[in-house]
Formats: sequence, C-alpha cells, structure tokens
Amino acid sequence: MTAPFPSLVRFLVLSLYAPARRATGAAGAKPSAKRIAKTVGIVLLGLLLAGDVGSIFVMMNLTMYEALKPAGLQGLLLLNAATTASALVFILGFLTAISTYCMSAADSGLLALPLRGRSLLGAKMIMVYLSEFAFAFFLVLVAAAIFAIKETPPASFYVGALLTALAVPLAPLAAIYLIVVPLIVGLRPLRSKNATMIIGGAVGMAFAIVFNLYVQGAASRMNDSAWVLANFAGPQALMARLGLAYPPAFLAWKSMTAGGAAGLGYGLASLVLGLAAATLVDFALGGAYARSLLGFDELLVKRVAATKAFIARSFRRRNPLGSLVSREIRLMNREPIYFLNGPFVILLMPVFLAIAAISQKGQLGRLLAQAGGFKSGPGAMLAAAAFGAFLGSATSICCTAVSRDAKALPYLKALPIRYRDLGFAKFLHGFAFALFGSLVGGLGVGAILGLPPVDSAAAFLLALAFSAFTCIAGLWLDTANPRLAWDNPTAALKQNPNSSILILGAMALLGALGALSAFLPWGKLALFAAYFAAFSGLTIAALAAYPRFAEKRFGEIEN
Amino acid sequence: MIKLENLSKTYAKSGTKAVDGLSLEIRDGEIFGFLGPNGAGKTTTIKMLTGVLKPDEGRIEIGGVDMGSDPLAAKSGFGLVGDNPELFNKLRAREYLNFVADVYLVPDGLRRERVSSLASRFKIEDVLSSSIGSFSRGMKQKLCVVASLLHDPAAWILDEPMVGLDPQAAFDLKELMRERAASGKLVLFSTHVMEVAERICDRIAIINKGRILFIGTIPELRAREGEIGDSLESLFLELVEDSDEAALR
Ligand SMILES: Nc1ncnc2c1ncn2[C@@H]1O[C@H](COP(=O)(O)OP(=O)(O)O)[C@@H](O)[C@H]1O
Ligand SMILES: [Mg+2]
Repeated sequence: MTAPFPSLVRFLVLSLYAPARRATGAAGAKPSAKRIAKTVGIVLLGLLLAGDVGSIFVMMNLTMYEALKPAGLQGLLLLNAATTASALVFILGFLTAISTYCMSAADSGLLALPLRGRSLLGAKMIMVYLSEFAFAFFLVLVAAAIFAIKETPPASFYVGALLTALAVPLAPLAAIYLIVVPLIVGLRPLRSKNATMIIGGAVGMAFAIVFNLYVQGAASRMNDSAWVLANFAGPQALMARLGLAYPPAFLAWKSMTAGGAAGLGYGLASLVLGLAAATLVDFALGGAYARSLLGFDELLVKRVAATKAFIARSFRRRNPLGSLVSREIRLMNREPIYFLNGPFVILLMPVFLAIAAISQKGQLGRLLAQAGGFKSGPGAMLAAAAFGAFLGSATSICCTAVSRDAKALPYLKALPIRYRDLGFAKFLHGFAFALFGSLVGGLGVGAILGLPPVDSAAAFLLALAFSAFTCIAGLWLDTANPRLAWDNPTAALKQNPNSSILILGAMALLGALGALSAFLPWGKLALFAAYFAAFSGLTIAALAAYPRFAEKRFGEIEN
Repeated sequence: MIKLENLSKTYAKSGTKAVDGLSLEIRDGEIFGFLGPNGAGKTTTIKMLTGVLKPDEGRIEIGGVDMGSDPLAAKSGFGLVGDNPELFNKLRAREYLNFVADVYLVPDGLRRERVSSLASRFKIEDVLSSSIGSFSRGMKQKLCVVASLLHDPAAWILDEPMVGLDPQAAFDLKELMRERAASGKLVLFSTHVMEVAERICDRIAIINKGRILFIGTIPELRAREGEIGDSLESLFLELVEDSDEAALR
C-alpha cells in the first residue's frame, strides 16, 4: 500500500504533465525509423528554441555584469537573478494556479475520496511547484553560469546555487495560494466559474504588468552608470533594500556569495523558511480550498418556455462555414483556461501597451529625438510590424485547434462536413485574432512612434502577413500531430508541444528577421516588398495545399 | 438500406484487431440490434459505418451511396447518436442544435417544427437556452437524440442509446424507433443488454471479438440454440463464451 498523499501527488502530476502516451503495442515492437527521426527532430528543434530564448537571458545578465563589475558589485547579479526569478515564478505560477485551481473532472472525483483539504491543496501546490522549479532553475542557472565563468567561485557556490533554485519558488508559491484561495472564496457569490477564472486571470495579468513596468524601468537605466551605482552600491542602495525587504532573495544571494559553511547555512535557511511558509499556507487554507471546490462547476440552468416566438427567434439558418467558425469561437472563449491563454492576451495587450507608452513617454520622446533618422527609416516601421506580428501570433488558437477539439472529432467526422472546411474554420478563427493583433501592433505602435500613416499601414500589412503565416503553420502542425488524449483542457493548450514550438518559433523567426534587416542594405520599400511577398506567398501556398492534407489526415485520425 | 461488406479494422496505435471480416445488410423499415459484450467491436463498426474511421478492408454503402467514394452524400443519409454525449458542454443547447441543423442544411421552417416537436417529446423544451454542461447525462443523451433527427434521415444509427436514460425516456426512445421503422426508415442501434434487443428488434446481430456469431430474428436465435425455456440472456452468454473458448484454442 502507498500512503494516500504521495499517490495523490502522483495522480495530479501525471494528469497535468504526462505526455500523451501511446497505447502500448505488441510487446517488444521496435519503434519505426520514422518515429525515431521525428523524435530527434523535435528534440533538436526544442534545443534550438531553448537556446534562442536562453540567449536573451544570457545577454541581459552579461550586460548587467559589465555594468556592475567596475564598482566591484558583480555579486549583485545573483541577487538580481533571485529577485527576478521570484517575481517571474510568482506571475507564471499565479496563472498556473488559477487555471488548475479546479481541474474539473479530476478534482470532483477527488472530492469524493476520503482526503483532507490540506492534502488536496498540498498536492496541488507540489504540482505547481514542479513547473516553477524548472523555470527558476533555468533563470538561476544562467546567472550562476555567467558568474561562475567570470569569477571562478569556490565549490560551495554551486551548492548555494542549487539550494537557491530549489528555494526560490517556495515563497512565491505560498504567496500565490495565500491570494488565490481567498480570492476564489470571495468570488463564490458570483456563482460563475468563468467569471471567477477571468477575474483571477486579470489579477494575475495586473501583477505581470506591474512587474514588467519595473523591469522596463530598470532595464532602460542599466546603461546609466551613475544610476546603477546609486541604486546598487552601498547599504542604502535600492537592490540591497529590496533584498532586505524580501528575505528569500537576500538569503538566496547570501547562500551563493557567503561561501563555505555560512553559505550552506543561508541556503538551508532559505529552503526551510520557504517550506515552512508553504506548509503554513497549506494547513491554514486547505479546508477553505476543499470547500471552495464543492460546487465550483455549478452552472445556472435557465428555463425558458419554448413558445413559438422563442423558437422562431432562436432557430435560424446560417451558412455552414459561418456556423463552424462561431462554434470554434464559442468553445474557445467559454473555457477560461483557453480564453486566458488565447484571446485574452491580445485583448489585454493594448491596455498594456498604452500604460507602457504613457509611463515611458519622456524616455521615448528623448530617444526618438536623438535618433532623428529612425522615424523615417525602415527601423521604426519594422519595429511596429514586429510588435504586431508578435501579438498576432501570440494566441495559440490555430496551433492547438485540432487538439482542443479532440473529443468532438469522432462526432464531427460523422457529420457531412468536408474536413477542409473544418480546418478552414479553425484558420479563420485564428486569423480574426491575428488581424486584431496586427492592427493593435502595427497601427498602435505606429501611432506611439509617430510614424507617417503609410508606414503604419505597411507595418500592419507586414504584421498581418506574418501572423497569417503562423496561423496556417500552426494549424498544419496541430493537424499533423494533434494531442488527442487528454482529460484536462489545460493539456490540449498549455502542455501541447505545438503551442510552444509555434510561439517560440515565431519569436525566433522575428529575431532572425530583425538581424537580417539590420544586415541588408535595402530601403524601406524593398524590405516591405520582400517580407510581404515572402509571407503572403508562403501563407497562400500553404492554404492552397492544406485542403488535400486535411482530407487525408483527418480521415486517418483514430480516436 | 445499409450494406457492410467484409469490414476489417486494426487500430494502428494498439494493434488491436477490433473488427474482423464483418458483413451485414440492414433493410429499410427494420429495427436492427447490434449486440455484443463490452469491447466486442460495436463502436468500431459504427465508427466505420459512419465514416469516422477508415476501414482497412471492406466496403460501406448507405442508401445506395458508397462511403469511400462520396462520403458527404453518404453522411447526409443518416443521423447518429454517438456513444459519448459529453461533447459540447460549453455550448447552449440551442446553439448546438442550430449548428447541427446548419451542417445538414435544414431550412428554417422545418428546423423550428422539428425542434419543437422533438424537444417537447423528450421534455427538454424548456432548457434549450441553458448550457449543455448543466445537463444531466440523460438530458445530454436526449439532446443528442433530438440533434440526430433534425434532418429526418433515412437511417438512424445509435450507439448504446439507452445508457443513462430514465425508464420514461427509454420508453419514448423505443417508441420513436418503432415509429420510424413503421414509416419505412431504418434504425440500427448497438447495445450490450439482450433484454433491450429482445423487446424491439426485428433482427439482431451478435458480435464478439469483431466477428459476427449470429444474424437473424429472435425466434431464429431460440430455434438455433434449441433449448426452449432457456432465457435469451443465457443464450447470448453461451454464444459469446463459446467464441471466447474457440479463440483460445
Ligand atoms: N481508439 C482506440 N484505439 C485503440 N484501440 C481501440 C480504440 N477504440 C477501441 N479500441 C479497441 O477495439 C476493441 C473494440 O472496441 P469497441 O469497438 O469500442 O467495442 P464496443 O463498442 O463493442 O464495446 C477493444 O478491444 C478496444 O480496446
Ligand atoms: Mg461501444
């Protein structure tokens, strides 16, 4: 017999993270060469993407190291890493905690088992901790590696770094549930799971925005050495005060820099304190958590007499393709986890953009004035286009469209619908949001930068061509390799490799194009024409080839 | 009329041979029961018949249309109640019904008429504006039944339709099956309960491990097993057991 708590943790972790396992075939069957090639390809792509994103962090840390070194303050790099990791882990963890608060099917089943509230909450916290740890580990690793290469610290440093990575997510985790559980309990009178999740998501986003503003503010001043010295040097410096105000980061920093037994002591202390905080929250709120799950899925049953007028009003014919598209939109927007990770990002981004623009107005004005030629050259137009393209491809709509629909596929396939139309409806759904993102990015950023209208329009068109391409590429990917077996909708979107491949791939592609544009000696018009032709050409070609592929592929899917 | 010729299917992922050389002919105007224990291959057969799964071998014809060569026309010829009513929990009942009717190109007048009569027949007429997620399993099942008949298909195919229905709804459903058969339409449904098949089927097929063990009427089944007085349930169990033993040998 296994104790209930460990097996509960195992159950939750598997239900969230376990990759879609293929049913085991005949014993000892050899994996085909094609399978192996595919796996190798995916691993390579993953490494490439991780390297791409990793390089951003590496650059940030390197810049910071160079700025701090002259003052002999390079150790603060580590404090910064611990603080940044804590904040990022808090934001990401907050969203994960909200979206996994009640994993409907799994959790209502668990409630019927003789388990204590604190076991339920504890298991869920561990589940969230795992992904946070992976993230914190990555961030601390980058800073620690740079520090290690430049400074060759003693061995105790590495132990300290590992303890830090383990401890960093704990305090945020405790804080997250300290906020989330009362928040959801408080929102219960709304009696609406959707409203609750969306308000929760908005709160999470608000934290993200505040943090982002802080980072932007700090980043824009990193080159100002007077500011750096004022804020980082001396006991009254900002970072030191921040570290003291947030003891876990201070302890983490000390555990890496104090060296020897002292370092180990600090590291263990931070681990113990973090564990204590998380356990305290678990014990204090476990009961409230379990109670809040009861009836979380409750829905309002509307009773309306089916009068003739009601029937006439409610039942009206529509073009099948339109009906397919509106089905896609409804199914996405009404599942809070999908909504928060998809359309919500794009809808909130303009708000975010406006805040950033207003708060950085002076800075921006100065920059633009300094770079006189920038506004009229290709750089500003491309920047607006890149932002629009990023937004337009950020919703994960197309690259998870088939996976999200996995359960309904057997039914849909029995209806007289051409598979290509099913796929095309999914494309149109994603494209509508791509259009919106491109508008906000292209025209919005164009306006902030004060671009001439023609340039803004060009930026919009470029963004649209790029994001349309990511839509069809994502749809193709998810049609070819959908995630069909899942019991929690999160799995279809967040644990869907297609979504990570596409979002990171789009970012990498944008980065590469940025570098290419800096390198090419072309003017605005030539760059616009080349990129627009390339991406709209690719999109049209893929759209033209998709129907044949869809007819074949949907026919083959067995689920 | 539905014709299945020599259908076989092995699931690629599990390597299970779910259906093995199955042939059947179902005539217009009859209620045909497709009977077998869990895992016999009923759902797999229905999925192939409805174009959801591609058979490895064999041919499917619905109302004279070949599923392989003209799937859209073949699919327009039947209405399906699948084995899983947990599909569109996020949609409202009327949104779902409209979607299905749009796909089958049902005009406004007929659509309203059929929704009214079917929904009131199955007593879900006052919850059409509610989210399907708020329905009980039985209500979802009833909604799927209503949706499957919006285009008044010539063939009606149901996979384990009695599961989750209360006695009244099960009675209403059987009644509707009889009506449709009486008006010359075809009804095919699967079940693992002999008693259900015994009551209303004109003919049945018993299947186990993807193969047909028996096709014919209930009296024919009794005659074949010879022993009068034995319940059909035990005849069914004996047949299945014999085929399990044969497979082991
Ligand atoms: N999607 C699937 N993938 C792999 N094997 C399956 C799948 N669906 C069913 N099977 C297997 O096919 C056989 C027949 O299943 P099914 O047709 O669902 O039986 P029934 O509906 O009669 O209970 C079973 O052995 C089952 O395990
Ligand atoms: Mg079945």
